[in-house]
Amino acid sequence: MKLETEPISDDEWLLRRVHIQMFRTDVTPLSPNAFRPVTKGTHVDNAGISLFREACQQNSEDILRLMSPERQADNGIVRLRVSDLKKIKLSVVADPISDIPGHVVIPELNAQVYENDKKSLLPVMAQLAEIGNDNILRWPPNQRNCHI
Amino acid sequence: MSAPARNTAGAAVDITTDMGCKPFNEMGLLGSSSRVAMASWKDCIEMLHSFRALEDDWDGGGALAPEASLLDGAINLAHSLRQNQIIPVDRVHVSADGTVIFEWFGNGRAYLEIEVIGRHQAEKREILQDSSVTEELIRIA
Repeated sequence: MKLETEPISDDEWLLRRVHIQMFRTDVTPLSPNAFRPVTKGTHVDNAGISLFREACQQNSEDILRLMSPERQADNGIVRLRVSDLKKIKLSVVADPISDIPGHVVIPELNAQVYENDKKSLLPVMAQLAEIGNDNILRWPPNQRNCHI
Repeated sequence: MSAPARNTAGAAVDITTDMGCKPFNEMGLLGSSSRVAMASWKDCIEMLHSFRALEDDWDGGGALAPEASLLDGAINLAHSLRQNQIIPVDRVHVSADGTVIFEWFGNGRAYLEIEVIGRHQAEKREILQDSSVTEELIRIA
């Protein structure tokens, strides 16, 4: 396991929480909106969308631990390799938080940029969804109850 | 926030009169017998009604619940799309910002979304086969 103070290497995997509403189903791919910066509310993605370094977790599902068990069951986890993000000109920056180690952000996908230019960011979000669609680590346990 | 692109006349598009079915037809979403709809409009509208029960932090990550008037707009839009014989949406969901997003997935990387941002306003964004992106404002009657 790595310390979050260690440099982020290109071969590392990053974990992204994705709500069941946007998750891949048998008939629908992962939504590009799974990588959309949040622009309103209490958790605005001012610095960029949140991910966690897998190498800094004891268990990948630890990134859900701040949620209630009920909410955890509505969330899945997809993973993205740092090198794949760099291929599409995205960067990864450490953004430590107190609760879970290895928190990072993608600064190019921040709230202000998204609000100002949704059109330009949509293809990037779609590319991330395409990568994440093939790298699902955890399916939302409640997925079977999702009809759309 | 920058204003979404408008149509060539510079006015917002009225979903019930101006939008027609062309964008959906270009994506192969209109009257395509080869494409299997992921769900019916009835399912979609039922789901939109179910969104009224959402409260803030519905996703466990601080997401906003959609306002009732915005959901009214989303339901009206769904009815309009159904009446215009648009193929049913592949997915409908609430964003963490409390907006409602309709999604269609076309061939290859083609993708279309309509984000309802208010009772009478929505934004349509589309990734075309050649990877170009279009955007326009839709007025919901």
